[in-house]
Amino acid sequence: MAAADKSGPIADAAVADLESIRVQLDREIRRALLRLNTAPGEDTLIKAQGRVAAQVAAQIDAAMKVRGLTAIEGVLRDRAIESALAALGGVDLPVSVTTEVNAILKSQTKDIADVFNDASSTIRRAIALGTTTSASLSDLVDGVAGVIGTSVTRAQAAVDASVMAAGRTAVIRAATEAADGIVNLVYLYSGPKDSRNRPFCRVHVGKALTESGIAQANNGQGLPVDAFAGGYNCRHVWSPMTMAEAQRRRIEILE
Amino acid sequence: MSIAVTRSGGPPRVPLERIAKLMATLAPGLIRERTGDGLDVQDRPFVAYSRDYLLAKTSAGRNPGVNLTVTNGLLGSVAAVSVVVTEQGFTIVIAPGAGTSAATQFVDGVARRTGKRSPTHSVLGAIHHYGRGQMPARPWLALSPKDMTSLMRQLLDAGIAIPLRGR
Repeated sequence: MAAADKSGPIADAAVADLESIRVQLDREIRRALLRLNTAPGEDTLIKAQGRVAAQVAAQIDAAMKVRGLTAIEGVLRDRAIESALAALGGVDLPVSVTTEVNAILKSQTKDIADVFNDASSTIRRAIALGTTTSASLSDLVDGVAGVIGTSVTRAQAAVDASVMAAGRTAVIRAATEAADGIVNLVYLYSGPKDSRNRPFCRVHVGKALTESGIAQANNGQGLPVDAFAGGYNCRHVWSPMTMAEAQRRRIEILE
Repeated sequence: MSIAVTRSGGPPRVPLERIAKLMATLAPGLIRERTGDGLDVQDRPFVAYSRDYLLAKTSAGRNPGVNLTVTNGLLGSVAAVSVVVTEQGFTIVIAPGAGTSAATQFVDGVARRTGKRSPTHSVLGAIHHYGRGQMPARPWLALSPKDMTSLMRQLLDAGIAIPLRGR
């Protein structure tokens, strides 16, 4: 084992996909905002354009749902499944893993929906305020672009959390299947040990758990430990090793 | 970037597919643990961080070791991304994933998220492995001699004894 290839076998699709969604969303919402009337020759929004403003807000709401939420959900699903497939070495997903990945997707989709609903409300409020105070259209456009950017960044975090969770789940299932009947495996709680560790992570990092130990563990966050480890956005992962190797290395095993 | 582990030789007692899957399960953790312990692909300590970066990292309460880790996104994403079994043997490709981590800056003794995302872990991994600009190479993505020994030992735990080679 000496060198590594320079090209990555997995495409950097999630980042590119989300950026493309952000650009499309931004473009569509800018177009909608331009329906707001401005004073001739000025950038100032005209007061009392309630009906147009309501239509624009509704159009933006729809764009956020279709261009934003639905599209990002698609990326989320694809990337999580790709992550699980990667952890399984590219073989077909067993039903048990598919079921667990679907449960992860359901919770993460709800988080992304909340992000986009918050963003829609913020934009609606900004439009209402702008059209009652005769604010500048360009300020409104900039503000809305900022809201979209932040929403997509938050969505990216949810996509990444799903990718990690699906990967953790698949690692355990794949290891269980690979070791079945030929060797006992344990799962090292692997990752940084520093002042940012959650209490659960501080206790478990550097120790190994059996599969039943993982099933019994409680991270206090209401999230399954096998998929989310110490909680949402946890930095730790499971590294399978044989029980005999853990014992040789004097790693504490929690059953 | 990725590495490949290949097995060749006579027929083993355990089906090749089972052996390949078991190796694909065990090998990524070895790379993660060794790198997290600050050792490169030859089991030697990584080139030290610059004084400024080390100071910033430790001031922010992070582990002072040269372990390519802030969020653990890179090492956490390492997995066997493909296992191909043929009649002659098998090849397992191990690589970092395509996700991203929160981009972090160390400012005034605190690790702050910049609000942006990092390059994908596969790109970050290559930057660390080969170095870039003033950043020295810290080769990490391979099975080191000690990783190979541990892998062989764990395969023996499963009653499997096979010759391995890597590239």
